[in-house]
Amino acid sequence: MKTLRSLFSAALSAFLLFTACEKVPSTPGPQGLSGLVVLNEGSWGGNNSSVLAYDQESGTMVDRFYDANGKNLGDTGQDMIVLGDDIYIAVNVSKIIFVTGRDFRIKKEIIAEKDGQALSPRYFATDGKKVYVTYYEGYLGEIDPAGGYSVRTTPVGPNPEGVAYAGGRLYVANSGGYNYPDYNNTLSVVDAESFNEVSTIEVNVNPCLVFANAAGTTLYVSSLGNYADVGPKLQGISAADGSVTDIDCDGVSAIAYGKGDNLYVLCAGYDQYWNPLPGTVYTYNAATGVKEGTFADGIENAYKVSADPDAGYVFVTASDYNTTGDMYVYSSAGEKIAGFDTQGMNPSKGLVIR
Amino acid sequence: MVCMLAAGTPVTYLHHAEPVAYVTVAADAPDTLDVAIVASARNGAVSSSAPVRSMSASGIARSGARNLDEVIRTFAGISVKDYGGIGGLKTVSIRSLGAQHTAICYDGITISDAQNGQVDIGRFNLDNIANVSVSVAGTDDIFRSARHLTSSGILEIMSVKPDFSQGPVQAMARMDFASFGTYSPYLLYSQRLANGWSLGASANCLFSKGDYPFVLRNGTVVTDEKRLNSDVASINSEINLHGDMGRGGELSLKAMYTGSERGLPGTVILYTQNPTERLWDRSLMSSVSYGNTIADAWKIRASVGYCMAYNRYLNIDPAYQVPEDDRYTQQEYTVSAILQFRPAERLRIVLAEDFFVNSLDSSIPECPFPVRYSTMTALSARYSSERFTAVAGMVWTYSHETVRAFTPAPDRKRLSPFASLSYRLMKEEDLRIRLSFKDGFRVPTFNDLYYARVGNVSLMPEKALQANLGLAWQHDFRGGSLSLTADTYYNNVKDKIIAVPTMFIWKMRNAGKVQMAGADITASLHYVLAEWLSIDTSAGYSFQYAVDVTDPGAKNYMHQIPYTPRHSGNLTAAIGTPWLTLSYIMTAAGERFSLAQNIPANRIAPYADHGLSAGRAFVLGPRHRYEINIAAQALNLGNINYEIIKYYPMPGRHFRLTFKLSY
Repeated sequence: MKTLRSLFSAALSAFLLFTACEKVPSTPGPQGLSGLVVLNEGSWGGNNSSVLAYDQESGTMVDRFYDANGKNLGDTGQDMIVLGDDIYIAVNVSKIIFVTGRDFRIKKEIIAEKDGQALSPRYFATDGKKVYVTYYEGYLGEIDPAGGYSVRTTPVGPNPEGVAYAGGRLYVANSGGYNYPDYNNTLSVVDAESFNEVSTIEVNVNPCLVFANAAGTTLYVSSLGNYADVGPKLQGISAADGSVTDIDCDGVSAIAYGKGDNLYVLCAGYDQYWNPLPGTVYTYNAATGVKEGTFADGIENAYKVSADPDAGYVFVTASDYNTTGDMYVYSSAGEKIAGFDTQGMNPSKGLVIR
Repeated sequence: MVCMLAAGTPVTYLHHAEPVAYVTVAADAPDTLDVAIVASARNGAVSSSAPVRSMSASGIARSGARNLDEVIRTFAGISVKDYGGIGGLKTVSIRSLGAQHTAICYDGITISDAQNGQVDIGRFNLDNIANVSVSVAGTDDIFRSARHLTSSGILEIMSVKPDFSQGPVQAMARMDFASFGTYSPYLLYSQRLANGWSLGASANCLFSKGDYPFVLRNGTVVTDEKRLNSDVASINSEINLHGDMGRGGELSLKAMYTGSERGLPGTVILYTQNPTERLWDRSLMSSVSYGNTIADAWKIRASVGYCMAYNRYLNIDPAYQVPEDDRYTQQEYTVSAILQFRPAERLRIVLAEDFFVNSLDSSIPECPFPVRYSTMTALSARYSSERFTAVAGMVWTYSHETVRAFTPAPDRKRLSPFASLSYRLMKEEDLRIRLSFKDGFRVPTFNDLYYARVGNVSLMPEKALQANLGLAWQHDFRGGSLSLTADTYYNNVKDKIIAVPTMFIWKMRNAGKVQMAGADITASLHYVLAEWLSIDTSAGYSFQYAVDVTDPGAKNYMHQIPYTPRHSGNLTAAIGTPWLTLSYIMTAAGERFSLAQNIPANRIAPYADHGLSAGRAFVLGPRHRYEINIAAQALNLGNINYEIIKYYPMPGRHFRLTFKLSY
């Protein structure tokens, strides 16, 4: 076999018209950022979602979830949230929510069903006591940690994405994403106490993410439009009267809420040849809805933005969907702290777990 | 099957008459004027100026293969993309160029798919196949449709011509029983009519529950699972009317109908299994062709054809407000003519013209109802002497598209040249060196161009440049023959059509460059040890270095492209006796990667698939007119649910039993 191989390499070097090139070295992990974990969505159908963290000893990223449980997270880890000592991870295509301790050991596996079919969790919100989760089949779920993580559900609009809690109400973005070309354009307003939809608010086509400001007076919604004549939009909604205001913002693709009552807005687009243009993150004052300035720019293959309000970090990720993605970590002041290859596909969210 | 009906001869002996069945192919078999040359180099795989892999009916029978993919998997350098299961999609890729670069030709009819460019080879039934061959990077048989000559490779399937030497009727009935609730009846009837005409009809049905068990390994958690929604019911039928009018030429009418309904089991997803997709297919292919040889110097073949393919895709995922229920109808009209002129014994010049129209109707929103008019004109020449073969030609392609809404793709014009040489190095030994070059391409499919949101009408064709240099040797000795081939190649794929994500949606783009270098080595031996004992064995090994060179700054720069093993190979062995034919097939592939980066997370484990087969034929009745064949196979003996496509486990150990009655 060895002689065969050397024979081939000889033949190859004679035959190849191109020269071998050094592989691009992966940038080192986020040294010094203790407790940082990265949720990687993985590739669709690849069952390669993961929660990765930098391991000082080995100098590489390790899968905290796998190491704690001896099994994989599953397909499309969509969202991750902390409440008390629990970490909730929604794994969308695998139709499961893992509740773990801060060591990522599984405490509870939640599979919600309707008509005998498991529901697909998307995004979380919390009021500090309970965790709310959207289910893509058209439901909002409420998980009660005090009640053994029991789940109750209520119907909302089609294909809900983001959800936010403000003033005893939950605001759910109904994307209707599976109903192309007739996307939905509403938010469902659900009373947290009765857990029933009380009203809907009309917004731009294909709403995606929702966050509330600190006072709970304004909700911010990003919508993706219909990918044709209706473009993406950032809108503010008054919690008091449900009135909707368009916010000046070009090409919004993702938003995050962070420390100091700031809203981070990732904007990007593509040129006429469908080449993705570098992404820019802008800071908005969530109390007033006013753009404060550019937070970060020139991010190639910008993918998602997330923030850890307690630790004060802002995370911007990059993905070409083809290779493992990158994460850039900023302080809430906009200082770039780290940039590294997450070693996972499609990194979507960062959190500091201590 | 033709040979099996030869009266008075014990069937299991018959392959003795046909040395090295695994590689036997006459590149130009129907051409009687070629006899002198063919006789001096009767092994086409060796004499061909470009690599040819093939298996004849007797080789297929001996191997125990019941499906076309099982045959093709033993061809060095040719891979079958297999999503697992009885009804799973199976497509053929030549030297990792992708299924869309493979032309598929059945009895001269091009089976194409303008919508997604992939043809499922699961539809072909091996019972009535005379020969299966794959030509790589060129062909010596230039008397063929211009369309084939632009492809990087040609999978050619030839059905058996009915043999009426024993009587006016030929018939076959066959029943297969297999694991996972699978059974498949087949009927064939051929009737000789008056004045050189004959009529044949056949139908093959397949029913399978397909609910095979598999072992799912999720880290340290190992569970026994069952593949769900993997059922299939299908029928493939055809009618042939053939007339031999002597000097007036030959006229053939062929019509094929296929219909199927199947569940799509989809990717195995951890923690949930709830497949919700189903697919229905219906297709009709028909053609009328006429061929004649005039005054030895001229040969002509002309045909007209019509093909229709309908499919319905249903997804009842509860996330849809109303189930996704899409229907697609493709149509193709073709007119094709081939004219060969032979000014001298050793020289032939061929002009081939194809004109075809493809259309797509679909129920999905924003379907622009595209229609494509294509013309391909090929001018080629071949010179062949006892020691030397040279082929050269070029194909001119022009296409024009119209749409009912939105913008059509711009007109396309492309010239694709090809050339190949073969030279016999020694007078006393059939050792040849061969060199071939081909500039092939594939046009963007209707999905690439127009699929809602994703399609991109400004796509250019994907180009594949191929160069091959090889040696082929055949040596006959007392009682047998040995043949060896070794080819090295270089492929350069430019403007690869891939889906690229933008910030909001995926878009088809010409955004990939791949360089490939590789080698295919084959060996086969046929040896008759005694009157009652023969051995046929073959081995193939492929090395593929196929790396992505799109972007030097990308993390996958110079990484092996997905689903492409560096090393793969196969081994077959058959022992023939009058009592039993025993055979063994092994196919194996080394490590592969499911995604672009060659990192452990994307690794797919190597596999080896072993199969065993035993068969026996009984000749009965007056004048030995009846023949019964009984065969049994045990497949994937290792019982490992290996994956060709990640998270599409292949069935473990399974069994098959075949009863066949021929008249």
